[in-house]
Amino acid sequence: MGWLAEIRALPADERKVVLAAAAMLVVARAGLALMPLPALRGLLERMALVEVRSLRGVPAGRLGRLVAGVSRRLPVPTTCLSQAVVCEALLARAGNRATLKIGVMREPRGGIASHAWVECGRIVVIGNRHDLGRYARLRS
Amino acid sequence: MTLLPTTLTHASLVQRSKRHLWQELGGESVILDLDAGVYYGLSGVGSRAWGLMETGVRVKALIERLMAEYDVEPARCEEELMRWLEEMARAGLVEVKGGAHGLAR
Repeated sequence: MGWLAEIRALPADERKVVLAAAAMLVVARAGLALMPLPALRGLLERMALVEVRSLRGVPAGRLGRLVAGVSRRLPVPTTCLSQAVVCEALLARAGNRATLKIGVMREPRGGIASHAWVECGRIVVIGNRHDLGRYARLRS
Repeated sequence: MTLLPTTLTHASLVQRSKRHLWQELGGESVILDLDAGVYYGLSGVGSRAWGLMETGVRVKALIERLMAEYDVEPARCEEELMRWLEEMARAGLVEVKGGAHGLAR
């Protein structure tokens, strides 16, 4: 099934979330190169591309999977951070207490790997990976 | 010459910037500049100094603390720490308050 057909097959609320997420991911991808992260997060939170009512119709975990799914299908590459900030903005708009987390870990060959994810309560809604526990969360 | 908002002296209060996120990894401090999207790594004495600057600390006190913890010649400790603090301040990783206003050496 093509992507457009997949979108058409979604419930109405999820379809709106997918379309909003696609636009926000493009903005996030460009924004990360052009502006500080705090400014980008503020911009994404103000982008009212989908009604709160529709967002509240999608559970947090499902919303995270939709954002991840959209990012895999976009013609522009997205990063874990761009996916995470978009997911965080959508969840916040729906009234969820979402937390963006950035972590680092030492790679076997001595370099440092970083990763971004979003938690809602104690559940990872986007950015989960098998070795997530190895990432030490950055603190202020 | 490079312009610093405040010239660094022994009386200056230095504190790590709150705008940055950081974490200790295997004795090294990894710092993320959220604005620039750049990572910095501090090891050894630099990492220890970073840890001591969670709240504001006088440069003089920082020098004394590091000299007590590391086997280093006082003059060398002071010179290298001052230079390091100036670099960190220019990079925006450390905030400097007090001292004299003017041009840095």
